[in-house]
Amino acid sequence: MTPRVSPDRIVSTVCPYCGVGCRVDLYVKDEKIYRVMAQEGPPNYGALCVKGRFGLGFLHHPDRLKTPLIRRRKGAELEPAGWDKALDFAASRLARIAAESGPDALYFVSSAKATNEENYLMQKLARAAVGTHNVDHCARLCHSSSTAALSRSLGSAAMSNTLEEIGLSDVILVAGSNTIETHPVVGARIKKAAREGAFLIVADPRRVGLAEVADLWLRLRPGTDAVLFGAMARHLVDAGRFDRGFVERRAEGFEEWWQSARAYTLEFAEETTGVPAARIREAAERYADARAAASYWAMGITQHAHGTENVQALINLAVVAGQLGKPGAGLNPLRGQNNVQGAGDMGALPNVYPGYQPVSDRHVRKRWKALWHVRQPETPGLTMTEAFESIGAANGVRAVYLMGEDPITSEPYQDHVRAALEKLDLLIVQDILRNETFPYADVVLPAASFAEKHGTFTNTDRRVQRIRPVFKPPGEARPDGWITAQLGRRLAQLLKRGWSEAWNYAGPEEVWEEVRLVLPETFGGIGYDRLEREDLRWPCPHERSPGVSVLFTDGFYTPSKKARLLPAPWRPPAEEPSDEFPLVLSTGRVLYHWHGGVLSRRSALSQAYPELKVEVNPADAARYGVRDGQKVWLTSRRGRIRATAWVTDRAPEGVVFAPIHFAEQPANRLTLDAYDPTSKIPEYKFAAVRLEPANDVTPEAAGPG
Amino acid sequence: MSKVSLVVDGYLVQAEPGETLLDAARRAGVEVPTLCFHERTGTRGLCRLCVVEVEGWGRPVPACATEAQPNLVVRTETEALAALRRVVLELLALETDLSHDAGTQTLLKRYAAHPQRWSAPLADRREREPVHDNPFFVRDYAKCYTCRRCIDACGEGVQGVWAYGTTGRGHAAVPGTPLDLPLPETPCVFCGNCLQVCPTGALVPLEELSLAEGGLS
Amino acid sequence: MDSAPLLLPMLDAALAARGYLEPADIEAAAREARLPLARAWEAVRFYPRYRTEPPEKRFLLVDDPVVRARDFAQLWAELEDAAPRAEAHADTVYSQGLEAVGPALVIEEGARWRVFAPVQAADLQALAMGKLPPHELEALPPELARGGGDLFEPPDPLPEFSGADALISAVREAGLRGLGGALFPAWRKLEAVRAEAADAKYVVVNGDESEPGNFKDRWLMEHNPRLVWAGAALAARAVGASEIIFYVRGEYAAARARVEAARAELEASGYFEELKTQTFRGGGLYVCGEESALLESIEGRRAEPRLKPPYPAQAGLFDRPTLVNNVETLAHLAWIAAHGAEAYRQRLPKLFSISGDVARPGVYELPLGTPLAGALEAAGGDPEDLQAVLLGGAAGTFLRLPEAAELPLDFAAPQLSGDAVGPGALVAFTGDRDLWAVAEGIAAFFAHESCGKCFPCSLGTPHLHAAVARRERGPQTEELFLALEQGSLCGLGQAAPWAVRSLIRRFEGVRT
Repeated sequence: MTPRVSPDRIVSTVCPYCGVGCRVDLYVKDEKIYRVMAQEGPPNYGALCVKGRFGLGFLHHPDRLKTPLIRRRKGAELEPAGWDKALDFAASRLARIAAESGPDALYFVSSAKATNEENYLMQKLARAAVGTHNVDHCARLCHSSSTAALSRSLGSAAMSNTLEEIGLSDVILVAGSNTIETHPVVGARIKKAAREGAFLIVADPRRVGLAEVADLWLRLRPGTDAVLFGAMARHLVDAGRFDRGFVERRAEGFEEWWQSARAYTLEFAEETTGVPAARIREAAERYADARAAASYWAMGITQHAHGTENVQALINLAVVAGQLGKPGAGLNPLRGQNNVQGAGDMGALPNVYPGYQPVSDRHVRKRWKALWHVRQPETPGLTMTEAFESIGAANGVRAVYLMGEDPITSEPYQDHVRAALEKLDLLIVQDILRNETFPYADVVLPAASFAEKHGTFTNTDRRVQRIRPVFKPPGEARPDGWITAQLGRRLAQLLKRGWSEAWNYAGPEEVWEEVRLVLPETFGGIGYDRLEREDLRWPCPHERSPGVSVLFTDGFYTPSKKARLLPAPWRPPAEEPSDEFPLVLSTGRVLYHWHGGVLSRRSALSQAYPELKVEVNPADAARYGVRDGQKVWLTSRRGRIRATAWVTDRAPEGVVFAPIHFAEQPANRLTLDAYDPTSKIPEYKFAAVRLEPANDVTPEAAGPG
Repeated sequence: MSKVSLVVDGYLVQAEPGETLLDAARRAGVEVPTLCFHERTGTRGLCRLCVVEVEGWGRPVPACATEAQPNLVVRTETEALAALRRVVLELLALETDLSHDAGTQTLLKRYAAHPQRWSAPLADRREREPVHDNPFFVRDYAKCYTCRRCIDACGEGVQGVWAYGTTGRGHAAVPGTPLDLPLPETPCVFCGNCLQVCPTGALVPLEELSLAEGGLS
Repeated sequence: MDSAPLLLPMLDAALAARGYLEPADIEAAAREARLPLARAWEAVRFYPRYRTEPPEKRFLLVDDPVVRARDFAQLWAELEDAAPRAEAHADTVYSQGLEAVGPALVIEEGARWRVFAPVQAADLQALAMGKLPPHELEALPPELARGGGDLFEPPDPLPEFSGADALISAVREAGLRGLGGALFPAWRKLEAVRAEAADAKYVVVNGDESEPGNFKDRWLMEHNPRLVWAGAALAARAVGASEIIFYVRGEYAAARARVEAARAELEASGYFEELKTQTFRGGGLYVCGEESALLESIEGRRAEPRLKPPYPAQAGLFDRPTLVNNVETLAHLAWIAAHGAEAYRQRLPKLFSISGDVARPGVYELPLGTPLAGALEAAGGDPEDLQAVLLGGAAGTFLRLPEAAELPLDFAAPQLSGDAVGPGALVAFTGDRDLWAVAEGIAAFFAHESCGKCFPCSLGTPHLHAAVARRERGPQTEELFLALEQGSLCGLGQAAPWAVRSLIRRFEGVRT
């Protein structure tokens, strides 16, 4: 095949959308990308989804931020400024607030869409230049439940196995993941594995794509996952069909866990989840009997006020069934963003340093002090959700440096978020495009996109991959890493912390070299030169290693080297339906768009799915007088939004599903600020709403995209 | 498992069990011409360009779809095979717009093909109008020789959505959507995995076509 | 998988109700058959009878080798002239197994086919005045089976199953071959399917006879279906199959009805015991007779031959071991079971479809090895009067007379000269017949029937037709013949050049 237009250049890089991390070749002519081809190797093996294939138009959108902007006083307009002026302004204001109220009055929101190097720099900024652990990123809102549960149980929060192993599983369990739409390339591979004989079990209240082709679809009620998996594990032990040898040799905490799990009988599970006991039993037995059974999960189980328990229950199941430490098995959280795995690895988290070294550990702090030549605070920082809640309170956060994040759209209970941002003394917004948070900014720093800089992303199965610039950044925009380093140097000087030479990096590679130096067991063998030639994943301790694919073949990463079984008690959701708000609202994503819609809605993808559609079960539609294609109001205690109704049995009766991508009708206007006590993740998947027709013109069929 | 020993064009080859004659030939440094074959989509055995002679077997067999067996004696290039390939390539070039099919053009040169010796095209492929029915890509079937890779990618082979199928018979066969619906009304998810594997450029991004035709989009 | 209903019967039910298919019919059929809509659409756009618009009235002149040699051109001209005046569309349809009856016309209205044979020019002219031709024909006249034969009568009682070993060794001893034309030793297929371990196995009866010049299977299906069912049931027991599917050529309504009536009767009498049986209406294309394409059509897909291996014996219908046998082969098997291999070897009965310039065209049971002249004489032909015989069918060769007069019609002898007895059709031509016209009809047939899967055939058969129409010969045409014969994926493309090549070599003085 010869393209119709001969490219000026073809650049090999990584798709910026999801955590699969598809490798792409971008064909450029006259400074525009006109064709995207998938590379044939891992992780995507020649496949892409519509977003990576046709959704990069945002790169050239007029809403690209090109000039630094400053708002000198509250109420004034944002005016253009040069970089030095803007950076000096930002740094001096941050330093003043830190001097007035302490370093913990500052909050640093890193970006799961920025590179590993940039995330490393952001947490270094917080810890080294400022002296706070107040750093976090959007994983807080998505897989923090997973990382909390996995860390405490296994000592490692990343996928334990790899995407390449999908074809090796005899049984695949997918829980709370609409993989076909959110990780489409992986969803297609799971579908194919099912066609080729793998037994597919899907646990989801909605009839998502994989549920339609599942051998066993467990249609549980929203929020009852801990009961489902708890009952499965309990049944296995009760029936003597669990992996006794594995539990004895490689796990601990069995007794305490077993006591806590006794109540989760199959009957109790049927009553609570709505899934017939026989199906739960079959699912458990198939999962345990399989030579290799892998579980994959995502937001459906994590984004709950008891999300950590949900994940814990799934972990307990895997341990009890012995489905860890071998190919085709494992516990595999499907990470959402293109570099959310990397953001965590690089320590953009309030309780751990890069490499997940605990902040509370004195020896760890000493090491980092030695590297950065500056003392490290003892107390872990606030999580992002706590930080936003604290704004306006006495010892609360007063300034936020926000990189590549749109909290107005992505945080729950939008009205609260607006109020919080208005109370901030200083908001620095660093991004590539205008978004809903932009109007609240005091400083706007224009950043370069993934296609305008060098660096690395780490995908969901721990694969570290190079991104390469396709274009020059537009206008004055600069790579996030450059901006952060500039701020770092200034703040270090102003706050007299460390030495400013620590902020002189020639480029991203030098930052990566620093990461390698401090995390040799994980990244020692991964260098830019090797990344040019080889496919690598972590842990990769030395230059000869390709990286370890299957974790936990010998020990777990806990101190005892054993997996910890922990109680995973089920708790009901925070806001149950009532007479006034009789339906459950679940929020999530669709194939054609991505999260806040900042990128996807500024590309051709918008034409395929232009406005908000909500899934309404036919019985509910009848009950509330709603027709397919009709405009409806969806109202919660916190606000209301207008959408088009798509009447479909994808939605179970009593549940309405609303995509989160449409800023003008934001689903988070309806969601509530209920947080998991451990992970602080918001309960995006459960709120109480009511549905009613909005007066409007004749409906047309709503359908999918 | 032990290797499979066979002879390809005089070279002794040790193939892995399960490999095809195409794989075995590659081990001998021999590139058998292929067109439809695609590892990932599972497409194989229909263009017939890769047919090779196996001693004692009668008709030539498609290398891409024939398992290597011990002690076979295979010839990938003979006058008869070249003549066969030449005829197929010529008829292909006569009937189809191959202007963006570098692979086939290379083969046309390799086999000294002269499509003009076959009088006029008999199919109406070249008259097909491009189909613009979605915001992402265009289906220009004047360039399509129904290699089936797109159908296979969309169905069994990769995506599992079955948004298209093959309609019609003989040289008039062409990919089509169910009920002739516009692509957005089919299960198509616009993954472009069909476009990825199309050897002729019949499937082309709208951006690219617009650029080529002078910046419309 | 195979518990879902089959696609084609559901499309046919909708078709019967309305005469054409609406989108909702196709969507419903796809859903019921648990197939993607795109798959169902592929079938709708592949098999000729599935119209998606209200059908117009059509007059279809049957195009077969006999009429091509005689007055096809004039008849066609008459039809083209008369049709519009009768508010109908004129077209042709390929051989309907009526070579022994005479020129034939099909009148198609909605889902209904009516066949009239023999017809004359005057009958076609009269269509313009709304007059139907005389001699409406549903089944082949039973008298077409001439001269008596053991295969013409159902055995009474039906043969008993004496065990797989006994049956298969009898078949082996008898030397039975596949009589659809492939001539593969029948016992080996039986043994191969028997040897497979599987959760289900099938027997599929290939009653798709569409080879021009052949009508012996049609005769058997219409007049002796019990014998064929008996053979199928015995084979099923021998190989351990649980289900028999009798695939009847789509256009043969009477055959289907009679095969089904025989099935129902045998089932009611308990003959099948636990065996499941089904009569399946074929797709209506010649390629459906290729055994793997036939299986594809049962599965609701385009009838495109599969790559082999694996063979149907290992992975056939729904990937299960499947025995596919021609109608006549199973009739012989039943006979062997009833009378024994010894008796069979003494008679070696074979059915020959003899037509063309002979006094008594029809189906003849003659011993294998009968010389060509003997076969012709049995049908009232005079070898001295004839210039050529098309042996086998469209996928056959022209034998020149008197040179070939003594050629024994068996499995081996014709192969020495590059010919083959195939399914056993003999179409005889006197000296005044234009053999190129016959060859042109054959070439048109192959181009029309090419499924479109492989490149040599889909591209080559139309060019072959064009070349034959221009009566071309020479090195370039020889290259086209070779590309088809050596490159095509299945027997259709491979056999397409045989007839014209034999014509050029034997009748035009061109050496190999």
